[in-house]
Amino acid sequence: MSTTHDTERPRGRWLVFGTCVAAGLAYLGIGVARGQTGLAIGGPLVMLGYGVLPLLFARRNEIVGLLAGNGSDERRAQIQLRASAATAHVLILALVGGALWTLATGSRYTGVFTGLCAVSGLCYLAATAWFARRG
Amino acid sequence: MSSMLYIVRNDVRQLRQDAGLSQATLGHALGVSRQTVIAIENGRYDPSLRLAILIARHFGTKVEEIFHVDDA
Repeated sequence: MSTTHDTERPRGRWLVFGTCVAAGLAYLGIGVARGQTGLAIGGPLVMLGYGVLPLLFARRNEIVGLLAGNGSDERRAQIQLRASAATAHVLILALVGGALWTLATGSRYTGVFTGLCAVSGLCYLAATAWFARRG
Repeated sequence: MSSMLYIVRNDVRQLRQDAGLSQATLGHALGVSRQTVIAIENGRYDPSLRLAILIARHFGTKVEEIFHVDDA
């Protein structure tokens, strides 16, 4: 029996690596422009490390493979969905907490937090409506 | 089914071993990873209806003869 599934996708690993290199270069540029040596050196190093990890270990370690975007079968896709949902929950908790905190303290960042909360709420509403209609 | 809690057992490991297949070979045949085959065999992952049908077809049997639902 053969299927059209491709269980290993090296393209995903290179995409992650390319994104990390681009982000590292951005950190380098910002660090140089602002005269922040720590950002200019530390940023690219961290991003390069994150990018190289999947290239070296994605085939040997499933977790690293998943971090490289390898959602090539239904279980892996489900893991990524659940991980994304868990991450979103934590982010929303942080945003709502931040919004309440800035409102309570009268911080100048109130607008940022409440704005992000509004975007999150609208996204959730739209996504729920979209997926409910699609069944 | 009256209860929402249920456990799905399966005979995938037994069928695979009887067929002399490795987990990697079965995974390749089904288009899934070796880890997914391991997760199904250990009962950590319930496959979709589509994958369950593919598994049943692969072993020349029916889905309900491989997967068994136990009400908790």
